[in-house]
Amino acid sequence: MARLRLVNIHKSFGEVKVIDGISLSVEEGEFITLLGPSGCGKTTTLKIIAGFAQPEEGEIYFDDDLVNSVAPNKRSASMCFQSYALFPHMSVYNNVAFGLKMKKVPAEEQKDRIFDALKIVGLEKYPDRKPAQLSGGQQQRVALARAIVTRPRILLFDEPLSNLDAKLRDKVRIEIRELQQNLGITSIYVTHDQAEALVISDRIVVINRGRVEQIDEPYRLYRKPETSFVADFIGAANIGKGKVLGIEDSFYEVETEYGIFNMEKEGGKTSRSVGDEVFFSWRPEDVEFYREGLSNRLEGVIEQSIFMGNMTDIFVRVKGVRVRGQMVGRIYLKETEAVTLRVDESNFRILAGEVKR
Amino acid sequence: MKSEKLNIFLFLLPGAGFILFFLASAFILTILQSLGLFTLIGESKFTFEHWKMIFEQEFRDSFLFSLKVGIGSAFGTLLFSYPIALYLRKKGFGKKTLGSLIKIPLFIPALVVAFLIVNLISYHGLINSLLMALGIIDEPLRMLNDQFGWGVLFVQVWKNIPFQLLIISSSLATIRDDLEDAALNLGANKLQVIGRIIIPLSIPGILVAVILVFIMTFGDFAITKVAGPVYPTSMSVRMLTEAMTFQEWNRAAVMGVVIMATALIFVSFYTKIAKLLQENSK
Repeated sequence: MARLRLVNIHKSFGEVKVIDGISLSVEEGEFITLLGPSGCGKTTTLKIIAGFAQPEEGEIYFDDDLVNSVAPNKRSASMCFQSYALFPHMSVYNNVAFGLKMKKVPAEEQKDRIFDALKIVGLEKYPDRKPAQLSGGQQQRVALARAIVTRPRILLFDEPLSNLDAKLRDKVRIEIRELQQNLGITSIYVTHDQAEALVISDRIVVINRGRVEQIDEPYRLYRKPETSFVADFIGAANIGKGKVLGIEDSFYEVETEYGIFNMEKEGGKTSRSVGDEVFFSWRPEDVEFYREGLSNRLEGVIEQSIFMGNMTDIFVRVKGVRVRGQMVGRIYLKETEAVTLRVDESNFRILAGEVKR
Repeated sequence: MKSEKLNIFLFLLPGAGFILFFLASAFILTILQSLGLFTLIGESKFTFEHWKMIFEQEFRDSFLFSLKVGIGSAFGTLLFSYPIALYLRKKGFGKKTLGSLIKIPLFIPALVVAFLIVNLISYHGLINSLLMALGIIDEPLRMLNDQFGWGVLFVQVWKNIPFQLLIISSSLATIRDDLEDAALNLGANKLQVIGRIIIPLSIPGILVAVILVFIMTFGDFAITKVAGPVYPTSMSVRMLTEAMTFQEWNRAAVMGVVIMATALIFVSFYTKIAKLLQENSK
């Protein structure tokens, strides 16, 4: 178990800059997820931690040890591969034994540790099977057992669930989380699936174009995105542009394309002055029916209303702008019907940076 | 049901019939000839008389010589082709060019290869002249037409490296890079990765490469004729002598059958081992 620290990592493949100054600090026993679209540099970051790729610039620390020049086979950072990378010519037992043999663990101890690891992942009944005789979920577990049996300082996961079907994925990600909490191993998990990241992580690092956009706990990341990229990438969001009209104690008064709204001050690292252009976001589920005496009215016409089972997705045209709302259960609103909705000031987020569409 | 089978037979006939006629008929004729039938010269009569030659000293020497050259070339070539294949496996500077250059012998006929190498290793060839000029040896080494067949082995290895390289490279290409990464990640060093992951997973390719080169060299004519010893000589060389020099077509046929049978035995070995390996890896 170890802390992990990345300091200003840079990496290019030829002309393409893949990682553009990533810094990151992971606490002992923490489960951290690198989240971003494909090609954002998250897997390369993982490979740099594992030692399969060398950064052009920057430092990697396990605890206080600089490991830049440590070979991958000496790093003690076990990886679970997207493809599982099980050795096809070896039994389950020998796959799990591989790391122990390489570390020259005594044979008797090997056996105990292998069966302990297999028990943890629930595969103690199949030590003699070949990987090809196992289902995808079972192969995943073998890969996990193989990674934890060597008692690594850090566990690395490279989209380990992307080859499983949706139901199994939900199940295994909870198991991975439980396992990690029981063992207390510092873990770095790479995924492009925001739902997976929200479920499994202590903290999430959102990466875009080789840069860190935001590092936060899942709840804060969802409710308090700092950039338009984060707001857009995690969950659905209505993102817009406005101008600060006035500043009150707890909120800004912002003029937008579809009305004037009060937006909570908290968040958005920089303070704004009157006349500033700002980007803002709110979540579809933040709409509610308007009640007399409250602020932040949205008057519009229903363009589309889609019943989704547990909720209804509504698309509303407000002064020419189409916004998306979601309400729990079935909402009896028909197309072309006029509605008056509102979004509370606490649900508006003022964002940093440009809107990328 | 019966007519369905007949239909299948009839549909297959144009293709399969062609193969059957031209391949099988040649095989069968050779076998019959070795048994004294269909004799081109003299009378035809069924007899095992010609097969008695397999107990003759000359026959045994030729057979053992061919076996030695076959096995020696197959594994001797592997000694070079496998490390080269490993080296060329990962992309690197100049490797593409090197990979192409190394394939050149593949496109040169065996006889021409033999002559090329003769210039190199003959009694007054380049290597001997060089060694003498450097004062390393006082008189030339006999590397060509030597009793053991080193000259033949040398030429065979030179000729067959690119062939084995092709087979082994494609076999290595099927091994995914992340298996290597996984082994490294679990603490294996580069040698252990090769010994425990790459070699075991490329055994089917190695087998094909070794067996195909064995079959080709076991039946070799041209290279033995040029670079081989005067006696013993290879099965094919001897077969031609029997037929052309002694007009013993039936005896030549016996040798032909033995060459084919040996090849078949090795192929069946190969299929058995390959099947076993496949079951193992399931």
